[in-house]
Amino acid sequence: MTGITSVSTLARIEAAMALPSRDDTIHDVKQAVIDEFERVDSKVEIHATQYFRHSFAPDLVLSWRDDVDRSERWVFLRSRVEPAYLLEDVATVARDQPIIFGLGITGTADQVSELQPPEVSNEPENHIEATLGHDDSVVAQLKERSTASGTLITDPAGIDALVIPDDATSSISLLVARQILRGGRGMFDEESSMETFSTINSGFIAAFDTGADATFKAAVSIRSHLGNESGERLLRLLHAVWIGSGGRSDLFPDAPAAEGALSDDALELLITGFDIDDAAFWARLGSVTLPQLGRLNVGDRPRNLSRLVAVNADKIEGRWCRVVPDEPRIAHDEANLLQWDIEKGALALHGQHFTAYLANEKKELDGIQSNEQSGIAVADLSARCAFSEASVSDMTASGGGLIIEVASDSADSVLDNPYTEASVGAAAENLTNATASLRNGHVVVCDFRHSTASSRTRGTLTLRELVRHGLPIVWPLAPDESEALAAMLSPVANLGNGDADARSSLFDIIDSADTSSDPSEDSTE
Amino acid sequence: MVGAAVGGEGTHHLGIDGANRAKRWLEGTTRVLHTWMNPEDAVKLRFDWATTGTFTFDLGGTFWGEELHNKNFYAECKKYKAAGDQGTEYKKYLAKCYLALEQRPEMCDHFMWITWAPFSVTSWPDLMTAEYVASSIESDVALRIRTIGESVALPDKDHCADVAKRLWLIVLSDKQEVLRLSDDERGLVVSNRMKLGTQ
Repeated sequence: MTGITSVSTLARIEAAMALPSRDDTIHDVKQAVIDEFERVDSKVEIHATQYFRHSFAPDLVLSWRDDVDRSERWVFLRSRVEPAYLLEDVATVARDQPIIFGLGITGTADQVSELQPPEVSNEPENHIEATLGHDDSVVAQLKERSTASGTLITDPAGIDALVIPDDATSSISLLVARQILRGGRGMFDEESSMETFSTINSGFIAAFDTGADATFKAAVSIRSHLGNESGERLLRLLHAVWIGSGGRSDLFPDAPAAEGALSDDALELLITGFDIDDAAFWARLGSVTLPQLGRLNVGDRPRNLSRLVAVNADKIEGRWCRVVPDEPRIAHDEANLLQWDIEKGALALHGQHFTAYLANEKKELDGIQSNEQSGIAVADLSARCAFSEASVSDMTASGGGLIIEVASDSADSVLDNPYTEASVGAAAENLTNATASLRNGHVVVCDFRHSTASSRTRGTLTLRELVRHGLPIVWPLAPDESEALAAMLSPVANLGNGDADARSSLFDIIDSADTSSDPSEDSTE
Repeated sequence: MVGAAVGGEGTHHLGIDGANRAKRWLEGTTRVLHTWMNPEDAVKLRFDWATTGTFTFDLGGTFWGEELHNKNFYAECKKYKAAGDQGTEYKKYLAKCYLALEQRPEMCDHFMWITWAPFSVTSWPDLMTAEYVASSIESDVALRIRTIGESVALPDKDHCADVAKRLWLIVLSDKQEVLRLSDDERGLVVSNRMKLGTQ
């Protein structure tokens, strides 16, 4: 597909239409159009039906695996692209908000006519005459009705205007193009398609720099040229970027969601959209919570989720990390040894033999079956805490009919005390609980029998603290998993308690500024 | 370019002409997979006269389902208010069918004359007989020469019979075009076929 231009797509269509075989024409025309759509959206699945230019049966069915937007869109191919015909087509098929794709062969039709004028004239009655092709009112009607009905009318050049060059890296452009294919409406010929695409793209780029004019023009364009569902989603995304970059929500025209945080569907749109390998972008979307992540349907697009989580590991707060054994999972490469996902309504981290679920409240993990296991040995805890860079202030062991609690009377770890193992005695192989202190002073409460790490009752932890430090203490990671975790999340620095409060995200800062009615309060920051 | 106007020879085909209305009516039966129309599909509708030159049908297509499944057809469409010159044109059409069946029999399962006005009513019972096919070709010397190459030769009787059994004569009316499955119902038919994987 690479290197195919709109000209060649049009040429392919014209060549296909000139073939004497009906089957060959149908196959080659559809393949040319399929290639064109796939250049815009490599993830779209396209089914070619047996129909061809049928009044009400589609030639192609575009479908998307994720169900965060419309999952299907029909495509009707048309040789007759004069406004009068298209107007009738819109009336016939608009019910399903399809794409009407002009094969753009009006020039060819002329040539055929000149070469071989039909011998029999029909002497038709009540013709809607050729002047319709020049009748601005028909064109205006076509624009109005296609827009109102959510029908996208386009042609090879119109779709080609949405194609991102192979060497381009603009994920936003890809996302916008994909959304237009999925939810665009109205007339998208080459000129209008380029203009719309450019306006929306420029708006997103401007939104990152809080450039108001271009951002708000994009908002207007989105409302005009995308259907309600897709348009609203893209608008929320634009709004999110605007806010994430420091723009004021109240300045955004008809802001779709007047809150600082990303809406669920805007976040879904980002995560399930094209790969955005830009840490700064994900960092701007900082006000993300575990409950919100748990509500998302991210389909099979965890890579963006991984980026979001990794970049915001210090901003996302949580209190619980429960690990359960899982069916062996084969990773294709080391980079995928650990993989983030949304599962059972919670953010989850998959390992090779386990899944760790993260939550703010214990009840959110009620549906996660906890397999009670035996405790671990003191030696194992020492090894795990070495990796987690944690000291142990106290621990509980069970054995010989006794429950033995050991606590340090200083800041030193009990694991460093030479009398610890002897004190625990017969229960040294069955530690059931421990309290781990991290270098920053935060505490992780560890329950080995339920493979659960949590904060103290009134405390909170960050995702980094729970996953980078708590998880390896309550679950025996394989060496390669430990390496992968270390690569994914560096350990917390030795900052002390006071710095934990400085975890506010860009959104938090903006929110507090926006909601503050007294400007003088801002000066206290 | 979407919305571009057709100029020159193509302009008389703009608007909702007879062939286009016949196409939509045929598709509305849900029994047609695809159709081909003049002028854009002339290459697929073109045949040779026995002497020189070519002719085209207004419409061609392929049926779907049951006894018509994947059967191909050609059609002439007359959006007339009255009989007009259909009597003469119909004879010429039969000569075209005769030649088309000779040249591409695999594409000529059915020949359809679709009109909005009856014609030749006194001969109506005979219009689709082998004898009428033969007599139509013989009736005009010029047509006879263009069809069988010479002015005195007779058309092949068996071939005329073969043509006759493929003939359809359909008289539509404007109101009849409305009497069909609704858009919603037709959409359901298509959706169901696609779900069943038959299309």
